[in-house]
Amino acid sequence: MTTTIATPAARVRRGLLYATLVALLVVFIAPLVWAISGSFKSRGDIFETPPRLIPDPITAENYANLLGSQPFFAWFGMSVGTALIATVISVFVCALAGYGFAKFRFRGRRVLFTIMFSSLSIPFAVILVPLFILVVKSGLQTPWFSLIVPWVAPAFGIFMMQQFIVQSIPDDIIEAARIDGTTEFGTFWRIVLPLLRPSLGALAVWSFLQTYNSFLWPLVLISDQDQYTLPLGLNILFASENRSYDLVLAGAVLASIPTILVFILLRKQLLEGLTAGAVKG
Amino acid sequence: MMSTHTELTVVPTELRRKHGGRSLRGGAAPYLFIAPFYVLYALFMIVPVLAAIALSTTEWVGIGMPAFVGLDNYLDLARDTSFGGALANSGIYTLIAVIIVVPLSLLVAQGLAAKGLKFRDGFRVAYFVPMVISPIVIALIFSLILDRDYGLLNASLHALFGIPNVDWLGDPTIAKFAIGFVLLWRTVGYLTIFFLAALQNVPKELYEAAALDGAGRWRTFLTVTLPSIRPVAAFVVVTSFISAAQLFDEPYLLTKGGPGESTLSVAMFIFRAAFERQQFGYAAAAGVVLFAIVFLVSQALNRILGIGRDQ
Amino acid sequence: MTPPSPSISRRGLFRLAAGAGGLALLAGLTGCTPPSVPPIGSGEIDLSFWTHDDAYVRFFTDAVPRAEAASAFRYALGVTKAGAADIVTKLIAQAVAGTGTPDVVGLEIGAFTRTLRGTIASELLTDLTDIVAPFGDDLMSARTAPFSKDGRLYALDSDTPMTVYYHRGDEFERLGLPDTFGTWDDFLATGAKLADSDGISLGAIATSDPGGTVQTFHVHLLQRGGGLFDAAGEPTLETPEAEDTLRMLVTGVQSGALATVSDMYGPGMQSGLKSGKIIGVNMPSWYSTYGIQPSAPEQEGLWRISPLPRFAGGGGRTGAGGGTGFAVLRDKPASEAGVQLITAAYLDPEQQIKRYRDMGYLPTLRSVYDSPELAALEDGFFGGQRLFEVYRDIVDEAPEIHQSENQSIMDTVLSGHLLRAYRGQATPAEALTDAARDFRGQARG
Repeated sequence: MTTTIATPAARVRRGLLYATLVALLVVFIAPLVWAISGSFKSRGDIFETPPRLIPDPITAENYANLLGSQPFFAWFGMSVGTALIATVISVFVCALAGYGFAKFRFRGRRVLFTIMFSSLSIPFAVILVPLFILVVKSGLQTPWFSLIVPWVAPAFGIFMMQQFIVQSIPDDIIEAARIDGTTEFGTFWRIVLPLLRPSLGALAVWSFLQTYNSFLWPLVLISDQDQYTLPLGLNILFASENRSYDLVLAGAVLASIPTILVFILLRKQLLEGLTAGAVKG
Repeated sequence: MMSTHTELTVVPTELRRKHGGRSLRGGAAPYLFIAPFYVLYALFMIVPVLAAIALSTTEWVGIGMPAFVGLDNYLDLARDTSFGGALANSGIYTLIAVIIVVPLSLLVAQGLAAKGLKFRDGFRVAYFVPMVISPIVIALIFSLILDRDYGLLNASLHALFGIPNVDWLGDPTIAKFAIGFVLLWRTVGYLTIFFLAALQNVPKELYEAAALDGAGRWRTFLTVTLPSIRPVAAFVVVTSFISAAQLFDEPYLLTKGGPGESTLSVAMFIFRAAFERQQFGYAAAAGVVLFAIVFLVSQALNRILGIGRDQ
Repeated sequence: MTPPSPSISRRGLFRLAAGAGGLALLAGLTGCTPPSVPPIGSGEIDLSFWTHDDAYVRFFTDAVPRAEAASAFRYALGVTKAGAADIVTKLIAQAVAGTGTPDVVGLEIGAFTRTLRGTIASELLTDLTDIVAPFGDDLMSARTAPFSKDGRLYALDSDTPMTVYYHRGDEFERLGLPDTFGTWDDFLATGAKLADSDGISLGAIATSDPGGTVQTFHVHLLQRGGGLFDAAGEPTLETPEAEDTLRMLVTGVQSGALATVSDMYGPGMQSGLKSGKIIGVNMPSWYSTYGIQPSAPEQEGLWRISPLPRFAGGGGRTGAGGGTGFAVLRDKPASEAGVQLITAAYLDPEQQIKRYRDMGYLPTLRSVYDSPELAALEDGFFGGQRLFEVYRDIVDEAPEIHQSENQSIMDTVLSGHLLRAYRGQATPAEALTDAARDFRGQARG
């Protein structure tokens, strides 16, 4: 693009752009800011109107109460741990399958793709009970395994990978590798995968969120409170008669940290422009 | 180095294209690639789905044996005004998602992709935040902001424009759009990330060529940007449709489907039938109906948007 | 165009196989009911205890020595906490899977209605009818009715949550208001004037969450002598009691005597209480612990309770709302031990007094209301008022509640029409008729 930024018209446009982006930024993060601010207020002050940004008096009692009265770190560990495992597995599985669908023509491709794709339309509440019975009756109820079961082969991820591969991996590259004599898997691993970094990053973030925020599945699976995931734990505080808003806010703020971290760590992947790797001409 | 190869491979490539695409036709490779997924999928999706379909022909409270009732559940669904209302509501949510949320995300991504933009990173992290916050907190915050008497939104509107209090969550019609707004708030930033990734994949040369041709911003957008990101854009449209059709968190947490049932979504209807009314067979039937509708529409969208075809 | 691949006809076969396979699968997955195990009669017992509230955990743990003294068991409690509605979801899910069910479970009164469907209650829960028979009428039927099905009792209630009129003693004095109103008509008349002149409401009702909306209607309806369902589980919306109640509430809402908040525990209520815009509320006896004190702790010492005004058309001076019943799962090794635990913890006058002092839950044995110890208790939040003077006065008017498996349908259907009535979009009679019609539409056979 060769538009210059020097002209007054362009400068005004650029200024408007910034203004809009900043306005959006405020809208998007205001609730989190409110939650953080509220988590440092005592119970009675949380809902004051107009809300004060900096609490006065500022107190960490909500955090202390939360960590002291609930096995928060156990919940935290379970949520983060299972989400990480599910993410690693699903990214791998989806990239493989997405590549298979995107770059090969084979017998039954259309049918298999449709079957995979159709599962996106299945509401989770419907398969929840049969899946639960299946997992329990096969004796695989240990949380570290059973919690990730619904999330390790997500059709969404394969669909995403397929589309990204179609858009960003030109056939020529694969041709070139084949002519060079590389194995299919080698092509995938060494040539295609590095080019997919942005989409892998997006998929990893999505996958992490799915497992991390899931509520219904852990609810029916886990009975031991020390093995709860964060959404379950927070919901106990929220769903009880006296709605411990103070503890919930503190817990929610802490619970947001891993996903923000994951995103920050992976955003470089998301950002990476592919202009360097794209085939020219 | 790549360019020499391109020259060499131009002709064979075209020949191969004529014959229906490249690569190994009967080889084992593609099947091996999709095998890990399919093994897991068969176990954890197909089996429960079959069971759920069977369940939809029964009546079952959860204990004991399900009682076969044939198509009674489906007939009851047809007469259930609550289900009809839920379908209409979910329809509204999907329209909001596809017609407002997706284009808006693309617009924002365009803005973020602008050359030489400062703080791009900061914006992206910030825009992603709504996805990160636990749904419980989102519900709490928005129920506060949208409260008729004590909410921030009404207070601001009143102060700025003198508008009397709007019952965002208590009026049957307005509540639907309040839910739509929360949906928008939650997903725009996230979809922007997708679009941004796609936009940054568009080869600069194409833009340079268009500029040389003298194309204005809008024409460039239409002829260069949109076609180049079609696969990802198509993906975003279809998945946004599908997830809006299955919207659950927002209506469940914000209004519990209320006031009355005016914000009830189909996914909430299913959840309610299964887990609040112990009518697993009925819930499964509703699930099958939802599945059928979503599947058919998304297949149509696929065809229209050219998903599964090469660029 | 690619020629039709052979997989198309395969697809048809596939579908057929899928259907048959699905049915077989379903039978296989659900068919096995676990063999019933005779309960252990004595010795060491690991009891799995599910509840939604920490306070119960403490109370039952304290009750363990009593249970051990009265039996030959040694208890070790394994606790699981979950939200009130989630407890039933988990209970049924585990029962379906045939393993992992609790031994003792605390079922909140609304959540309990889910077990009324089909044979869930009789299949899963121990029938306690014969066990409580010795107590006769002392165990108030007002609190056994809600947890019974077909005349059999399945859970012991923790509370007799009578509704009383909470109000700000200091504000009432300042404004020259009487401590008790004779009838709701008097209340409404005064309330309307007050709303007009000072912008202050004498009461508040919930209008957002369907469950909360119906509950605030329900507590008034019970006081009026009506109910949502009769003993046979049929809806009783089209009755003079229901119409009377709704008319009273509509008048109150439209005049401002009754403020509307989205729910009774949220920021709207808190704001109203703190600012003094709401100086009274009709809610059950546990509401001060869960609603008033957390929202407005600084108002300690200023509140009072009194019996509710009567309905001119009939009924007593109190309604009811809430409650949590503790049930024991049957046919499990720990069933016997579980029954011992809940009866030792709850069906004892001393324990019921302790329950009130620990958790604020009122006794379910009538004889305990005459206890001098309770009569002398002064509550600091209420400026030293002897609350039991009021409770004892009204306990005999505590209404019976008949629950139905279709409570969830009632909540969604009725809440919408209640709101229409409050907004003046329908007369009370119309709203109730419409609700009854919609209810019948959704309650399938």
